[in-house]
Amino acid sequence: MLPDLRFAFRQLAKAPGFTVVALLALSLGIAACTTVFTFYNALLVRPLPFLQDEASLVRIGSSTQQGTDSFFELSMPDFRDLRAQNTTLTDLLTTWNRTFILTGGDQPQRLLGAWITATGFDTLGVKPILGRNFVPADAAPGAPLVTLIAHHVWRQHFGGREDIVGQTVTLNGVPTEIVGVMPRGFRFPEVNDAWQPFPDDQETKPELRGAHHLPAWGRLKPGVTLEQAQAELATLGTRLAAAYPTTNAGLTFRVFNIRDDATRHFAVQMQLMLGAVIFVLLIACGNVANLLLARAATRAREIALRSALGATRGRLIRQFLVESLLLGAAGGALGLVISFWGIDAVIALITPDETPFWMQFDLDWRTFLFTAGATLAASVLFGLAPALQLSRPDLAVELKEGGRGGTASARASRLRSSLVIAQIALALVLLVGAGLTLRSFLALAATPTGIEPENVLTFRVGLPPSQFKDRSEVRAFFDRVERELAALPGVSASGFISYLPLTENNNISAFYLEGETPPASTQEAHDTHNRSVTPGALAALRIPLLKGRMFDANDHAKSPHVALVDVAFAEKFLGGVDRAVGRRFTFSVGDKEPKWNTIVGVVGNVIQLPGARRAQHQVWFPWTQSDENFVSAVLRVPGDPAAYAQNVRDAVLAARADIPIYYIEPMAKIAYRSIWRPRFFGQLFVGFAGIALFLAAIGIYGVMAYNVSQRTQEIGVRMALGAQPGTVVAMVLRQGLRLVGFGLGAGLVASWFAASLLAGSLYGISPHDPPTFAFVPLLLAAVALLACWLPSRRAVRVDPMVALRTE
Amino acid sequence: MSDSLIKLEGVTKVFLTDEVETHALSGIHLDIKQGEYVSIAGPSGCGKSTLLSILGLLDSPTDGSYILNGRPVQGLSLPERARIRNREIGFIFQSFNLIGDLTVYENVELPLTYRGMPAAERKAAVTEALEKVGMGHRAKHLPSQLSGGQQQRVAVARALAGKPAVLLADEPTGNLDSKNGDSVMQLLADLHKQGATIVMVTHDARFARHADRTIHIFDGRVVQEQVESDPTR
Repeated sequence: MLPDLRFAFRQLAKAPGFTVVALLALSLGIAACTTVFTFYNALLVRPLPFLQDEASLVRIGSSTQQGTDSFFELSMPDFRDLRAQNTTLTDLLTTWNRTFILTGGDQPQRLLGAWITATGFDTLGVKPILGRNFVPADAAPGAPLVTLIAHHVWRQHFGGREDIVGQTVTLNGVPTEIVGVMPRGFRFPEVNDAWQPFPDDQETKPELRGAHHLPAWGRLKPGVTLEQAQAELATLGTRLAAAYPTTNAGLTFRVFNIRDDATRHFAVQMQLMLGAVIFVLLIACGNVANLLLARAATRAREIALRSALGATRGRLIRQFLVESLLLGAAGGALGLVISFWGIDAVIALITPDETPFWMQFDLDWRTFLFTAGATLAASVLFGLAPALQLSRPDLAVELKEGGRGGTASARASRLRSSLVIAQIALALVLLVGAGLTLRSFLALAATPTGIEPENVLTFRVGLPPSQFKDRSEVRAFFDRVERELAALPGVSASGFISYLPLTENNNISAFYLEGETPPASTQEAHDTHNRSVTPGALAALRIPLLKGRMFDANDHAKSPHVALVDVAFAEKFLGGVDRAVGRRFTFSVGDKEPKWNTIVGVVGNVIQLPGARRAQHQVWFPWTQSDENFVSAVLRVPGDPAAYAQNVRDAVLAARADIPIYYIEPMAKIAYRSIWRPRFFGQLFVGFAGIALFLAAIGIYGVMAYNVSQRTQEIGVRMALGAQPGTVVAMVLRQGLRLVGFGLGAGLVASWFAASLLAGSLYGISPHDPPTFAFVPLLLAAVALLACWLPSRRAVRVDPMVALRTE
Repeated sequence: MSDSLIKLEGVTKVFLTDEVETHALSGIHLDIKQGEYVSIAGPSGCGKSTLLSILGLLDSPTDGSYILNGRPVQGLSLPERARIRNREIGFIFQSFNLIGDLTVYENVELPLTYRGMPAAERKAAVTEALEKVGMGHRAKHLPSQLSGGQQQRVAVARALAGKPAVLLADEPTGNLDSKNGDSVMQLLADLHKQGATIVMVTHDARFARHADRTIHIFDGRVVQEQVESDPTR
């Protein structure tokens, strides 16, 4: 083996051009694979960190009985019933995100917090590194308030003091004892900083059974399957629907493996992406195999000699494989190094500032194993074709003085041509995929959002309800903040909105119109997005009033409730914009004395999220008639909104020194982020397709250049006989375009079928989008034509005398 | 002379190209004894190289039988043929056929590595072979750093190193000037004196006379056998 390895080293060192091109192709392919696998691994393979026995952890939610793909959270009454009545789960847990304002330092700090049912961390199997987990007594009414903090909070806010456990801090104006510090990196369920026990006396009102906002998890009892748990929850769903028809008729419960739920938005895309980079690697293998075949032709005599000296076919194949494994190992190592940058580049494309705690993109042994496996598989793949090709030399011919001496056999030529055809076909499949995702993204980006996000600054601010129970105090605070913001120099409009559009925050409620038969259950009612807003916020976002009037000072807490609806709502439910004003609707489904809201105006459509699959009509309530404690502020400013960050912070601090503001962001950034996922996958797809195109072009060029060099003498004879340069160019191009034509044909057929895999993730276009299927093959053909044309230029520069002397 | 080392009976070789049959060899009978030095002579295209290829198991006869060292070899599998080439036959080619990327030492060592010989034994065998052809001092050189005559000496050492039953030489002086050609022929003669069986293809009558016996081939047939009176001239 050692002599083979030594010889392989010399072979690579002797042909630096070959080695560099082969390493470039291989390392690009391996780097693409390693980069994507790092993310694939983080999302779909490696165990979720911290959580014990991930396979038995499940996510539980509500669903309509008809809609198999509908999934929404539980209400607390449903959660409590499921927890008490099920027999297949050891325990259930739920969380409710809360804002914790930490005071006592120089500045108030806002922490992302959550209430979690007291035994929740025990169910997950996570223990604090310091202190203790919550116990049920912590959640009992009147129990002293206790808090668990995340590791980074402990380090950043409390200096990592070992004696933190037992210390009292002030959260939301209430003293609380820190009872523990969670492990480093643990921020369940996504990016939380601190947790408090979910109080037993919260969310207990029966009317909250229709308020679906609590994510729930559970752990399967030993020996219980997901299907058994699902069957039991469905039975419980039927029981609850019978007991509480107004809220639960038509509802059931669904249970998923915790990972399947966490990754449902991108599992398919990650699988497609991994498929795409495997295609890139295959194209790279095609290139290297072709280079090896070309080089092998010049080694025919050496191989024949080895065979004559007694090397068996297996021994020759072994030598070729040692050579390709050495090349592969070098390419794999280089690819791994390149993937470090690739991973950073891909992470930079992830627009959200923070990713859920369980997504860990560091390289682990699985990634190294994958890279080693991909390298080994690639080495065998690109090494085997030349090895098999050359390991049966025609000894009598090759060893003869003046034997073929480097002329390719017809068999080798066919193999090289087949490889190029396969490369073109694979590249076309990737390019079509990239074209479809790009077109889909462009369609998504072109979707009118209904707002003008430029020059708008937003931030979030609020008064924790546990600290501010008096509504008048809350109103006074927000009135003051509104005045402070409006007084900032240059601000042309400002106001509050309960949840910003173009985010995943939403509030969907069931309603019916006056005059309609009151629905028996929320499932039979209509539903709509709804937000509360001040007129200044609509102005700041430039959402136009099209009909009726805007909210005004007469719309206050004690006046009749009013609403604005958007055009989509008016057209869907009211028979058009002109018939909307004056109509009434209510969210009091099931109440004998419904509270009616009168529509006073119609505003322009605003979408919740580009590409959202559900209808996006919505109603707006005056903020003065809502009981929100937290709002997003919006300000239209001249110039760069980010420049106003300090001004708005000062404005809020002027209203209250103990209230922080957070999520200070330009609205344009939020709009940009709203389509980050399709942009992210689109960019990756286009990037990998670009690499594929580049590699395929090199492949075509390599084969054509080699063919021209093989035909030097023939071309010389033709030119000596008077062939025009154009004729020679056409001859070479014809040969190349034949391969391109076969490749495009095969690629189009494969693309047609492969495109169906993208159907679920495309927006606004068909998977068989005609412009994509027309343009992409043309693009590839043009690049291929260029790759054929360059060697053809070299062919016409052949000097007949020199060419003929080479015989 | 001892027993028969090579025995060909009725060996025929037909090449089929584009539906045209070319009879390269027709009914060759040949018997070469252990320790014999035989030259095969004839004009270009007469079939002498084809004959040597068949003798060296580089090619198979279309018909007839070939017994090497008492064993029929015409119908063996490819791995078995490779094994016999490695152990029983030493090749010397007109164009030396040294591997340019291997040193002199490694070139000579190559057939021994295919045999699976332990490193220490290989070293001894290679050193002995190189010393025998007077190239021991050039072991670390690459073929490109040697003259044609030196390269052919290395090729002879490679053929000798495995102590084969027979050395097959195809125009061993064809690419050498007369001085180097004479030197290589002298080397072969010396080896023959030491007991080596040699079969050499040549079209140079001068060199053919070094052999004990010259077999003349014409149009794929043996047309004359000539025994030299003084093979050492």
